[in-house]
Amino acid sequence: MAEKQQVADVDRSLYDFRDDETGNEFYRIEEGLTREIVLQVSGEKKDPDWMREFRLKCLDIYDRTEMVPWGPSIDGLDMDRIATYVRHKSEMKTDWEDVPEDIKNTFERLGIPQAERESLAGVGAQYDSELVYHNVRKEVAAAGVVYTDLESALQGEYADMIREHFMHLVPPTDHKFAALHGAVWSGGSFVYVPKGVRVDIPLQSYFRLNARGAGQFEHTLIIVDEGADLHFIEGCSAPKYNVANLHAGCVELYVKKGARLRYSTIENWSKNMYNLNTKRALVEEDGVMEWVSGSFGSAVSFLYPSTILKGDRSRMDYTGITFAGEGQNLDTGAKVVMQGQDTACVISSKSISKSGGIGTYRSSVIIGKNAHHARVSVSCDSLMLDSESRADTIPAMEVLTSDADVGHEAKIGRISDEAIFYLMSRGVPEAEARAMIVSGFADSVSKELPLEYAVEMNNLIKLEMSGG
Amino acid sequence: MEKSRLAVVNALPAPTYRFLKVNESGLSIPESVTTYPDTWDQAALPQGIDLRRIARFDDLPEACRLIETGMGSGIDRALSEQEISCVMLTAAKGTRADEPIVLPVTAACGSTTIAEMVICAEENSEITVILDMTGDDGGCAAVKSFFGLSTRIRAEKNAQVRLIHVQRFGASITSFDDIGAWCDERASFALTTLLLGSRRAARGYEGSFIGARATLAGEEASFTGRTGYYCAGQMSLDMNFVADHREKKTNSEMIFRGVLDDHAAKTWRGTLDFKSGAAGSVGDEQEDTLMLSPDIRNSSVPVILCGEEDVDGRHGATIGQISEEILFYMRSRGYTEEEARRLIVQARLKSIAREIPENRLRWEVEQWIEKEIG
Repeated sequence: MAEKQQVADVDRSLYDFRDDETGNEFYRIEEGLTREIVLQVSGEKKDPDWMREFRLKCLDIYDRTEMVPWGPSIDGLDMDRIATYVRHKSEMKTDWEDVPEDIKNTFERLGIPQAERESLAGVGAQYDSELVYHNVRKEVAAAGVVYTDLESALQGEYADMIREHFMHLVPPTDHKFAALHGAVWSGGSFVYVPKGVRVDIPLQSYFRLNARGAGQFEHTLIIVDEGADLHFIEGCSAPKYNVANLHAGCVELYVKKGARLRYSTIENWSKNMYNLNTKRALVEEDGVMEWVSGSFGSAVSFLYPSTILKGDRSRMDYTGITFAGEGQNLDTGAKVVMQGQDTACVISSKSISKSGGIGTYRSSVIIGKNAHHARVSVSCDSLMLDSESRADTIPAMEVLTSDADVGHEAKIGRISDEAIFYLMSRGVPEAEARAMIVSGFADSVSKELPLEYAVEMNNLIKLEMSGG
Repeated sequence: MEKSRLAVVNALPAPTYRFLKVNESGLSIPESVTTYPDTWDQAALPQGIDLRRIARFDDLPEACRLIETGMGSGIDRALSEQEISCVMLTAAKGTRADEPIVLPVTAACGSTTIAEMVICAEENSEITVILDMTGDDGGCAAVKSFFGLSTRIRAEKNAQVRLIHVQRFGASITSFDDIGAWCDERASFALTTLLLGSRRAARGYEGSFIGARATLAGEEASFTGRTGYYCAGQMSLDMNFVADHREKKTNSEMIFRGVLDDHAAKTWRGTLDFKSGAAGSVGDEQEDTLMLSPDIRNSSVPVILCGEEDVDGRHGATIGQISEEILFYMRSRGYTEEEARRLIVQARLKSIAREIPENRLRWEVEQWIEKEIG
């Protein structure tokens, strides 16, 4: 019997470097979660009164809410050991040259400025709890596109718009970590694309959590107005520590009539991260929401981008891949609620499990009573690379109308011997054949990304094959 | 007011979002429940098949009592606490029963009974058991009725057990049908379940519950399940099927074909569970649900759990209406739309009824489908 080829873990060395936090450049709130700490964060943010009250209400909800009884264990996460606010003492800059040297180096190594020069309409870079850089191309700003940090938006001319939308799609009662987010959120971006404006190249926010034993709670709020079009990219990474870190961000997306929003995420948190993120979109008539999601990092993930197809003829596409390696328990998937008539939803999920990693696909599709002629197609494929790992699929569908059309298929298995044999019969060496098959498995996600990000993703799942 | 105890039943092997309300269900079991009348004790049996009655659930041999079932331990507690006696059918080693054993059940209006059965198929034996469940119809609308059936199967090496449950109560009475099978090396268990519901609901109707679990504990053990259902009126059907692959080269195939009409509600949970060590195993589950009324509710939770690399697990589901293409084709052959719809619904249920291996009962069921459905 031939020795089995090995597929390597994701190579995280590119992301696993850190800045020393011991100098005077950093400000850190004490660890834990109390009323005083929440008020301290609120003070740091110079919140308006309503936001301060909202934070306190969220803390109360957090204290009263139990953790869900399903999904991976988060016993290793102790909120008393998490600093909810850490920031570099530098203010946010709009000129890259003004960003402090150490932070600049960090983002240079991650390739963010280069990406901005070559392929982005605007960039936001968050370092720990605060944005350190935000910029948008002049021609994009001239078209009326707003891309700014959420705190500035909260104080300026968009204050009413923020208040109207902030945590309305994801209320703090949604779950325990939505409440936590509401209490200590900091950083994140606000995007507004005016009616009819098409942003041809993507905007990107990059989140870097450098601090040890800290949490990142950025809030992203995007409104794509009627007939407008936007591609937004979110990237995240962190160095690895031997203590737990927490990411409990929140993304709220409003897609108005006839608008289209593509939201792409390449998530590569380090393996000490608890990634308890919440993302939700509300789509109006003829609107289109597209999710492209790559989950590669973190120790534990709970991540299910959800979409409410409120308007008639609205549509949602979800394309996601999850790679669970050693020590990882990644629980990912998608949720959709179909309310409008003639709505459509396509979910395509892939997962790879190896070296004891656990990958779970979890989803819910709810077709409401008035969602006549709703069409749903769900497919989830899981690839097991060894028997120490796990791959589970737990989809659920609820249909409340008779004229819906729902198709679902799921498949779990290993790399097919027949496919290897076929490729070998065409002259491809076995190791290369396996690599090709695994790359091909991830292809449905990478082809949905702009070229530069597809390359990054392929590098991320650098699947090295060793000889037999 | 009649006392009852709430049992947690049909728990999903891997729980999910609570708002979906599919993680488990609750069934109120009356405290006054009694053993189903012992008419089975006089049943005609093929040679080599032995029937005896065991007074209490707790007196069952451990190898049978500990077999996990689809509905779960909530049912076992009721069997144990209420001292329900059990019929134990044993197919002796090497017995090949030519004829199926047909056991009739009549759920009388106003009765609250539970029937309990264990089928033990010793090495190299074959046994087929049919449970033909009927009931009064008209009178049940006024009185509360409850019927439960618990069946455990132990299939030893190379044994083949075939179990057919046909339920046509005539009125929707609160009922459960709980099945658990243990299959040793190369043993097979084939289950056919046909639930033909009624628009006539009995008083105090809480739902119809079915759970089946096959533990494939020996190499090359297999499980096939065929389930057909017709839910109409105010019926609520709650199902939980699990194929538990524990050993190498085990096989499971589950097919579910159903029709929902009027205000019917259905929750279906189907799980393929490949444990570590189940190398070379294959599992497939297919669900096909036809929805006829805008007031139905359908919940489907197809789960695959996998802790083994070398397996092939698949699930497919189709939930929708009768396709326009098929209707068009049938109308072009001279059928009215109503006739075409009726034929399609009946054909779906008859495809499961065809699995009944006893000619007379199969004919009766097909007649019932033609008369009562559509």
